[in-house]
Amino acid sequence: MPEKPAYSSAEEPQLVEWAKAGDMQAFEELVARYRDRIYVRAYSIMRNEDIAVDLSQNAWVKAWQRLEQFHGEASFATWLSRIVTNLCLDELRRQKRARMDSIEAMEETTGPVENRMEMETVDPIEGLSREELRERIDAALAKLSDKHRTVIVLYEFEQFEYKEIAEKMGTSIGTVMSRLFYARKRMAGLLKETLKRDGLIE
Amino acid sequence: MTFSLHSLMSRFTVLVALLLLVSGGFVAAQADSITVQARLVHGTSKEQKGKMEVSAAIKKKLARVFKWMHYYQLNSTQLNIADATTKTTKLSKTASIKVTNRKNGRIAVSLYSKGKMLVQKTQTLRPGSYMVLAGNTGTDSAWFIVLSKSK
Amino acid sequence: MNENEIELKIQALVDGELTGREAEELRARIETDAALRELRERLTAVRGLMAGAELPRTLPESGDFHWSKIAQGIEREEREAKRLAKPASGANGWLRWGMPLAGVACLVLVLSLQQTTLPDLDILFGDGHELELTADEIDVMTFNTGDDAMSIVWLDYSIDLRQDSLQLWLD
Repeated sequence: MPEKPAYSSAEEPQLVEWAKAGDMQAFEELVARYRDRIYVRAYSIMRNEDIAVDLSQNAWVKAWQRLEQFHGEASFATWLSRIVTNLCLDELRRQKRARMDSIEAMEETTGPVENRMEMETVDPIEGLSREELRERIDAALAKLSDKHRTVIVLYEFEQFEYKEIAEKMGTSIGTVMSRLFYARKRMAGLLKETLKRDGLIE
Repeated sequence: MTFSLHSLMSRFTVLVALLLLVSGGFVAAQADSITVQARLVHGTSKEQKGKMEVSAAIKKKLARVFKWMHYYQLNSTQLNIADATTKTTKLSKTASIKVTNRKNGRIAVSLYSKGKMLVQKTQTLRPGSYMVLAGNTGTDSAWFIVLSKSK
Repeated sequence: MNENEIELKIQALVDGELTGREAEELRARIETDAALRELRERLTAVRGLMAGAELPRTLPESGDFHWSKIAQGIEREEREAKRLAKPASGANGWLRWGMPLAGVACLVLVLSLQQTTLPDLDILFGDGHELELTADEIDVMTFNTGDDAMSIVWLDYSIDLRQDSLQLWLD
């Protein structure tokens, strides 16, 4: 009788092969390994725990259905990350944020108000741990609109190119560039504000 | 007045038989009825002063699965249900449950919201275990209906 | 090129999205313009800060519960896929077999309605647990903790937690 595979110590490609063959336990092991990472990506975009949990779940279900399409060009986690990102973008399209939409509509037709502001300098801060910096960046991200946060997440975290972001967001490369520029200026401004407020810079 | 041994023994036998009959019936009635504790619980991460938290045992079990920091008991009721009988209790403004004793420790719990039945769950409820019906409230918190069998 | 366009081009250069001759020309222009140099440096600094800056988080529910929902989601999708799969049959085949089959189906339906079995509405059976869902619009997941100390039915439905002033009543 063949030995039961040791899922927890199996390499990812082996787990994927087993899962492709219909082994749910192998897939469960993949879920256990990457569930936090997929949740983080969903949360970074959606900024809502419940929605992020739901979208993460849906992403895993879709991944199971599409396993045959995964051929190892990217890592399994990257492939899965793309699935949850697409689900988040679909969800954002469905949601209506009237308040932010009206501000963005103004920005995109007349030019961002913040264009008058300069891009702030944000230098590496000694004494600020990487963890603390991440928390501040996360807090600043939460203050961006959906569209601006999405473009930052897709570029900086998901590492898409402009063209890919444009396709996913259903817009032009020029608009992606504008949004990214504005988002970076806003992030720099917000970070500088919090660092000044905490006396870490003058 | 004299009593023969025979008549004493027969009276004694009758009395013992009667006693067994009554107690047996009593025991049978006890075995058939079930006592269920039903609690409406609010899971939230916001502290709510003045509200009572659910028991430590229940909180521990819920916290193992769910993310909330607090589990407030909004309502609790005890239902003593005879065999093949249904009891109804209202737990909130819109939610009520009907609990049916289906014998041998099995209960069927039906959840009603605004008079409409949403779901019915049937299972054996052993002492020390819990049946939970739950969902989100839509305001970053959750509702739980926690049922257990009282000893 | 206006000021805004130049800024976006510098961003593209910093992001590696500008290549070839256009990139060379812009680099040359930056070298002669202090303001453009400063913008390039600031953009580079912001990029540097953002790299790997996604805050790690833990899924806010137990792994077992999360997996349970995923597994049931997969099951549900597979059931739905089977339901939607259309049987292959030519028109003649349908005429020859379809009507008698429809008749048999009606008979089965009528007979099944006479019985007390539960309707096929996402019913889950296992270890003596029966579940009946009567509202089509609600999704439901079930989950048992490993030690069987708690069985959970999670509904995608909100209830009003407020209590009115009426005392609890029992039938």
